[in-house]
Amino acid sequence: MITDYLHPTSAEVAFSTLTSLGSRARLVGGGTDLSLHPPADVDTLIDLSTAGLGGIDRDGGGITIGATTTLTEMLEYRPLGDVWSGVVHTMLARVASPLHRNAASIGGHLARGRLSDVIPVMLALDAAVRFFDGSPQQMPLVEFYATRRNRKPLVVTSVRIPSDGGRAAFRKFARTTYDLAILNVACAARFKGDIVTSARIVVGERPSLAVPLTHAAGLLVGEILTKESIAHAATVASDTIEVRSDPRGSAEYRRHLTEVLVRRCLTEIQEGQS
Amino acid sequence: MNLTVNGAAFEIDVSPSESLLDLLRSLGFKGVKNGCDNGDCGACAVLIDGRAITSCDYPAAAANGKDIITVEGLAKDGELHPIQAAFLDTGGVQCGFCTPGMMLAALDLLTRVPDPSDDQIREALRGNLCRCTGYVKPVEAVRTAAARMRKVTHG
Repeated sequence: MITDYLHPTSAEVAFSTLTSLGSRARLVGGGTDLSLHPPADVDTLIDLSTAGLGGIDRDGGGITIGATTTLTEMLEYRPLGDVWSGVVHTMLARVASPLHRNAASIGGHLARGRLSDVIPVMLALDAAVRFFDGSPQQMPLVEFYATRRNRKPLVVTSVRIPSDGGRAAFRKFARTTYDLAILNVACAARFKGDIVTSARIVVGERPSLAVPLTHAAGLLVGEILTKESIAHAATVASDTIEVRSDPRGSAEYRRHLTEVLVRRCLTEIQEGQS
Repeated sequence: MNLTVNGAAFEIDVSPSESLLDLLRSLGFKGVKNGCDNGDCGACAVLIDGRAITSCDYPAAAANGKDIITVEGLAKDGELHPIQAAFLDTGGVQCGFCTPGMMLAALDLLTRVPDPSDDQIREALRGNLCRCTGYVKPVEAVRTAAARMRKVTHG
């Protein structure tokens, strides 16, 4: 039962409150998830909307998105459509409905770390997460999840997407356009001429937290994207992905989807490059 | 906390566990419908600072200092809002349960996009589920409202 709802005025105050209350407290981004499913042992919600964590800034190296920025604000920020083949906008347009995107925050997505179309794309773009855990920190989002840092007490303050070129694509498979994904895939690649210099293949809703498939992506580096090289990477991705069954889909189906969606993402990148 | 609903200021105590949907209905704004109470159907949509959201999964306490519009706030001086009139004229109301949420989602759209395509209208209404399963008339209603609102704006 929620008995207290706080409005801290900074990330520092929010973190201090969070650590003093321990497992009794949760941070609120947009509130869409927590208000429906508050954990039974939580009695205090700490709303970050007053903590000064909104806004989007662009500089020469990337785009920094404040944690309380809504998905709609991201979708309406045109420079995000100019980087990485506009994949962030492509993805956001497929997240739930405008009614949810108007409330849901990017920081809430990243902190929750599941049931997300946003996270695979952010991982594919080598995004970095900034947070406060007693002092300001920054680390690659990949490391944030791989080291389970997201499970520690902290306040996500922003996410930074590098804008140094490259192409990306996103695919999601769901029962309806409105539904959670049965599986989603984000791929990104940088090129020198036609040669791939770096690549990421990320698979989400396995249904566990999204994971980069480094071996499959590594097969593309030094190669030209062709029907054959794409098919090979997609097959390896499907062979190596760890998936499991849940009410939305079987492990076998998810493995099949991995091959199909990785191939489609890489083909889109290839077609955009040529 | 303080909030404004349809232009009227409220200074009230709210339960930290209360949803904005329950708060608004307790204040008498029964046009905010409780459909699924799970963020899925859009019947409870309201505008917060001009943007349409589902109020069932929005904490009431998060609305502190916000400007809220419900369907009761659309008509002015006894005159229906052009969106309300268009829903009536085109048969877009149907059974009426999803209509308030649809109208507010439409208002969010038309405030930003005065001349939307049918795809944009359908995208804007994507989170509003119709129990009568009829979306053709609501889309027609929003298209009609858009044309009338442009005429009012531009003469």
